[in-house]
Amino acid sequence: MQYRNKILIIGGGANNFAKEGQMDAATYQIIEILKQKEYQVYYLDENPYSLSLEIEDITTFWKSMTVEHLKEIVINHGINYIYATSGGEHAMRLLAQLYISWREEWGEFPKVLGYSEKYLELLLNPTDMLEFLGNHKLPVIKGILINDVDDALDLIRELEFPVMIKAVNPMVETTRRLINKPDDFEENVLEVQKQSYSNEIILSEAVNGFKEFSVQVIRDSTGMNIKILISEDMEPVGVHTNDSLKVTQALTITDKAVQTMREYAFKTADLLNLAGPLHLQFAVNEDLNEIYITKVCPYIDTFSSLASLVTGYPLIEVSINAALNIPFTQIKLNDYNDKVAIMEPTLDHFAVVLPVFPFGELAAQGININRRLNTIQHSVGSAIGIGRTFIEALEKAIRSAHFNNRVFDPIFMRKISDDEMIQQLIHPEDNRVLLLVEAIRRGYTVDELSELTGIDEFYFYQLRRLYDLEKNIAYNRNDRNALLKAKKAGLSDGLIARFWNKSYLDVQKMCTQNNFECTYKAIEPTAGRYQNYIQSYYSTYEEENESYKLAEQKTAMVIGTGSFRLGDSGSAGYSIASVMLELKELGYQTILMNNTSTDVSLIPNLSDKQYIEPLEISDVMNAVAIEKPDVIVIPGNRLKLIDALEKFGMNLLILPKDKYLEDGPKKHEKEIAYNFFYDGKNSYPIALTEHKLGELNVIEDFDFSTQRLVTNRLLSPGLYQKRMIVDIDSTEIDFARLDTQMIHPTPFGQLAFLGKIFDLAFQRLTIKASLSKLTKQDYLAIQKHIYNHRYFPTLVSNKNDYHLHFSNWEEIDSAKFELGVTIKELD
Amino acid sequence: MKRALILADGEVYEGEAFGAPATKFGEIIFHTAMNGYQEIITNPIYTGQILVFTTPIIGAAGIHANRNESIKPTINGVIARSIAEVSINRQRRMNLDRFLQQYDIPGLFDIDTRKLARHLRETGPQKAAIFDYADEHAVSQLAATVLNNQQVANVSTPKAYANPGRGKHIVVIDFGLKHGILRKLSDYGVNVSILPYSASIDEVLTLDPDGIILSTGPGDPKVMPESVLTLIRVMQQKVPLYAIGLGHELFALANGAKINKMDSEHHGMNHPIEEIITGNKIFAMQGSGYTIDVDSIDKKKLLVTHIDLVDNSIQGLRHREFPAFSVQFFPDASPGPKEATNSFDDFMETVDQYIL
Repeated sequence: MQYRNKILIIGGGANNFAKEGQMDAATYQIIEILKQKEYQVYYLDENPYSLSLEIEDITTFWKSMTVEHLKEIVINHGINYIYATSGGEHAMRLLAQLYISWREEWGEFPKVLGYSEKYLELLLNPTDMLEFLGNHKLPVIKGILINDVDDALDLIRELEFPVMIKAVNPMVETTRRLINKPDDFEENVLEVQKQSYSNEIILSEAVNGFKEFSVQVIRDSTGMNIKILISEDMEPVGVHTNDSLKVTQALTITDKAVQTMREYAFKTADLLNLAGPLHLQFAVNEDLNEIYITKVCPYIDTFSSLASLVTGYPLIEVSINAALNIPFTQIKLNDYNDKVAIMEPTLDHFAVVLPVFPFGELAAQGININRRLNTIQHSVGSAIGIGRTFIEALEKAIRSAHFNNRVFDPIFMRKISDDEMIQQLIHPEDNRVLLLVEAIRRGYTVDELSELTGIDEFYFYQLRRLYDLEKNIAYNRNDRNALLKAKKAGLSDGLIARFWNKSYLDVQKMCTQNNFECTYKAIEPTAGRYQNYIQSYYSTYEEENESYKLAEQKTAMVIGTGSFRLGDSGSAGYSIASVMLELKELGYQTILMNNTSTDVSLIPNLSDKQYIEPLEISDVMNAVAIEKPDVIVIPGNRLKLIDALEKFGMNLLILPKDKYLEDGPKKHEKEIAYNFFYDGKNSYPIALTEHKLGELNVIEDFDFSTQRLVTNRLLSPGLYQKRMIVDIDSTEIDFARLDTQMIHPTPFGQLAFLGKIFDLAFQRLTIKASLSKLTKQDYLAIQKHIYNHRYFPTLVSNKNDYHLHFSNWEEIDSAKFELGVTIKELD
Repeated sequence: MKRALILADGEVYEGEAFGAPATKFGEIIFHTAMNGYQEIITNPIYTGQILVFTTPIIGAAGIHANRNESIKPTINGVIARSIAEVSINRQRRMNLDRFLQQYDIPGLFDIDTRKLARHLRETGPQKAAIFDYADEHAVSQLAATVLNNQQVANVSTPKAYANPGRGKHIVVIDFGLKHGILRKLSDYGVNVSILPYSASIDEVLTLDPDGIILSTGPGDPKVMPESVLTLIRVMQQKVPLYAIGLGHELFALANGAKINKMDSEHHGMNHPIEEIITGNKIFAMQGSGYTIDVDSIDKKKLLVTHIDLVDNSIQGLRHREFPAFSVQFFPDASPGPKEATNSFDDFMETVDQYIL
């Protein structure tokens, strides 16, 4: 057998704050490229929602991500290369720990791709990284190291508040805290000290009020650097970057400041001798001529996945080529102009990113949390709106992120008292954008708002336009010009209908009568300068349309889930991606509609065409009008959309999914669920599961031949369950009672977990069943699965420090909310 | 208020007016830079042209007096997808709309600039105009208009002036000098004399320069008088010479190379440029409609030092015999990436080390 290079890829691990599907999406693409280059790929991940774990012809390890497991794989399989960049911060830290603990007698350490071994240790401690850059004359904020609280308290009199503290050798990813006054100092120091393995904290000058920017660059092993994207946060430093509205362009600073950030980013990449991506975070005050690097991320993260999606630059493909020491100038790309890899992306569209907060869902479950935004991340995802103007992109982002959130109803905002208004202007909460619009409505001037919030006045002028526009629509019912302006500003038919108190169908009809047709523009990295063949689009209302129906072949449009639910975007992304893989297998060309950059379903090669759009009825119908798909796959929780599409006579294929999250087990309870697969005619038992607060198990050795529940005829094929809550100590299962329970679709997270255990890709089977394409082998696998698999790990809540992020009092079950789940092997 | 952009090939774009309510004619080009609109608008190389910005918005950073590349902008129009409003305050005493009004430059926004850029990508630059109405009269007026091709004469300083310093004496020949070059020279504390493009050899020699810079500038290098080429041929033998943009094209012409109009112009900052001797790839602001015919270069005289890796255009030349070199791109980083500024270091080192 011919010798092949053996490469171990370290996955991203469990979902967490700022860690959704992006690592899995990057890893999937990277593994496919490595396979083409004939590497023998080994892959370790613990994420039950990982699509990459289901790639064929590679060796996968679905195990806890520990140094011990890594070591075993490296030694037992004779690994020559190791790559962690696509697994993000968690994977890189794990790699660093492995490197530090490696002993000579274990053999030669595998060659690390993309990152220099000698700088691995810097990844374990962000403070060390910043100090390293500071020592090389890059601008970082100097900190004082403190390991004794008394020492810290002695400093109080000398300090100028506000100050920033963060943990050295942190146990969790976010420890940075802003302390505004001496009274809060001791409490915060003690809390952050607990988050440090070495009980040390770094105290530094606060730069709150500075503008915050993210810069994504990439470097190859020859030293060529390319800037991919610079984005600007609407909120100044003081609100976590992932909790701020973000615009994918540096708007409110001069070119001089932009170029300075770029220069520092290139110098950092050079210093680290990178061959891959680098994301830097900056705090900028142009009036003071001060620019500081505040965060260094030499790996794939939320921002790099955003950069890749909104620029159309194939960042992941280029990253792995760079890691393999292929210079940018020699990278060959499909679907792109042959020079795209070496050109810096330049955009002719706006992308606005809005954070998605879980407060609504948590409140519905009786969990009360502090909604005030600060330096700790509260958001659990984000949604993108892309348009040709800021307003259009913003409106689309709002519709994508919060279309079902009552807090984002403009009428709801009017109930806020004036005192509350001022409080929230100064101390931002999750309803930021609508609050600012409401403040404009109440007569605050742009300069007053800018002063109160620290937000650049550019945003208020834009929001004032938005307010004027909405007023114009409300006052001009059925007016053609008002309608055109509204459509150009990104408003959906449904939203306009609400202003006019009509049905969306009336608005749609009026658009048709006036020939207001939406056009689509390509999301490509050259601003129209060169011809590219990228099939990724956003809608607008302009003259030229660039999107046409895919070639005459069977086509399927797949509607993503967006990013509007607490935590389940990871499992939903996995589900949608599985659906597309199966449709492709069945000979369909696939068209995806979705709007979150971290979703695994957005892997470029998974679909033939992508629309990055909100998922309201008019958005979907506009794309349907162009594509005329043979079938539309849609998650079952989109009831209104399903209803509308059915009325239009569309051929729908529904993925079973509940609209609302039901109550799960409380502290002294557990939930027993009987899961079965329904093929459209018959039901096949799959697994009995037991769900306690924070963990979910398959009940082993359960004999389905003795207890088979009654399962009625259901609307569509898929994985379903009957479930009941019982006392935590009960040992006997009351099947008669379980049999009387309602049937629910198995939540996507549990579906992904069970699929991994039994090696059954349930969403793929769902698609096959819906299209009557199940084979004898499929039925055999469904019926015999229980006998073939003996590996039953437990699905457990990851060590998310919810209290750190949410300041909640009630316990949060992340196994239910599907945020941050991982697996635990049985000993 | 609605106004219209009309192209010589008959394309019409209707948009909202901003800036001055003037009717202006000019060659239309598009620029793909995402930042630096103020520096681009005030760069004299765009004299007489109508600029389309592909970036979706301009104006959000305001107008800062210290970011101008000329005291008076000389472009004939600005086209953008949208423009931003900003407050006027201590730091920002001017906004884009007022700035354009002040200099009688019309603007148009709310048009499909992506369609326009994709169209211009195919047709190349062409004659265009901004009118109140796109009627037959406007179309025939555009057809009858002959654009001025003597842009250098319009923007070069009419008389010599000095920017004194205590260091070496650098003479800058002004073909449409941008301030970024002077800003860079001030970093070295040099004594600068700026001469009009029509300066004679004697006028230059009388100043006893330690080095000469041929500045950037607008338009077709081939319409420049022969005397300019003679000046270059003489001066390159006497003192270190550094030519930028139009200066680079003239340097090539003076040394026997041919210049061609580019099929598709490049105005932006996203093309990598290879420095051939080191293999380094850098990015810089670029803006040119002309390029040197690679086959016409006398290899005994000139060495190609830089090349654009996207369109393969020659971006840098060095004389094999004399201390003279040139770059097509803008090394002053105003606007644009800073990594190209080291060619100023090269020049100043050459000046420092050069012994007659």
